[in-house]
Amino acid sequence: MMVGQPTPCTILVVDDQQSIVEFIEMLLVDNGYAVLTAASGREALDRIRTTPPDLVLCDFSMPQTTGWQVVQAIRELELGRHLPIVLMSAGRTFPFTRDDLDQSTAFLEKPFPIDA
Amino acid sequence: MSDTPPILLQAVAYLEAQEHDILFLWVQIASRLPAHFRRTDDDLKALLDHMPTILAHVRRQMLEPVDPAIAADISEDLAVAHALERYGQGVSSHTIVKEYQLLRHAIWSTWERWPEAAHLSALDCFLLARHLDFRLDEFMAQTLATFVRLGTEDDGGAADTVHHPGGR
Repeated sequence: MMVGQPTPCTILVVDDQQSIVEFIEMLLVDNGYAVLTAASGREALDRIRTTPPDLVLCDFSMPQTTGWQVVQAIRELELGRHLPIVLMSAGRTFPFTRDDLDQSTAFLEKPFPIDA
Repeated sequence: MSDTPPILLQAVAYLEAQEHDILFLWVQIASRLPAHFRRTDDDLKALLDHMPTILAHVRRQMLEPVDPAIAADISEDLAVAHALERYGQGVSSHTIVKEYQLLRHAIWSTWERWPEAAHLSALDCFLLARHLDFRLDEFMAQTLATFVRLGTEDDGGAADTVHHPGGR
């Protein structure tokens, strides 16, 4: 890497649907981001501990560990307390309100456009 | 192509520029169809299959006149290849139809975000719908015809099976 070249922002994409992860990864890489991927909540936490990302994009509805549980687990980590997290969900309603979300958590309803 | 209505030229050009958007929308919804949801062999290549090429063909052919009397210049090889792939994946004919419907939905959703959409007249909308539907239906028909033939060959001449025996 050349001196002075900015380090790309690293985004962790978490989704149990491999096709979704691959597409989002392709879009982010095309736009200059470094991408980490995880297929489960547990894998996501492992990734965060070893290679802390700048932002997490996490599916809400995953088997075993939901996106909401992932958010709560990340917030318990020292380096995860203020980590920006965007939850993606195909459901029309979330089992929480905006008041339940901290300032570093947002959500996107699937399907969402590329520029969302 | 000199007789192609300008609005159709502009609309198709917009679709070409938004190709990734269309496919991204399609993938997000199609990946949740029962035939694809949480498959262990699910990856982007398997899910998309020939859809990007089909989309490109539909876009180009939308600029041709809609005339059922004129033999469709669709890429029969493309529709057949797509049918073979889906048949091998064990999806049903229902899923194939649904996937084409989702492609139609993704295209229309993308047009709705087109800055020119607010200025489209009812006639413009009808024109775009007619051209899109005609070309998508051609591909869908060709894909299903191959799919049914494969099912008939597999069943030793039985009638069209809705579900491929190897399907989920």
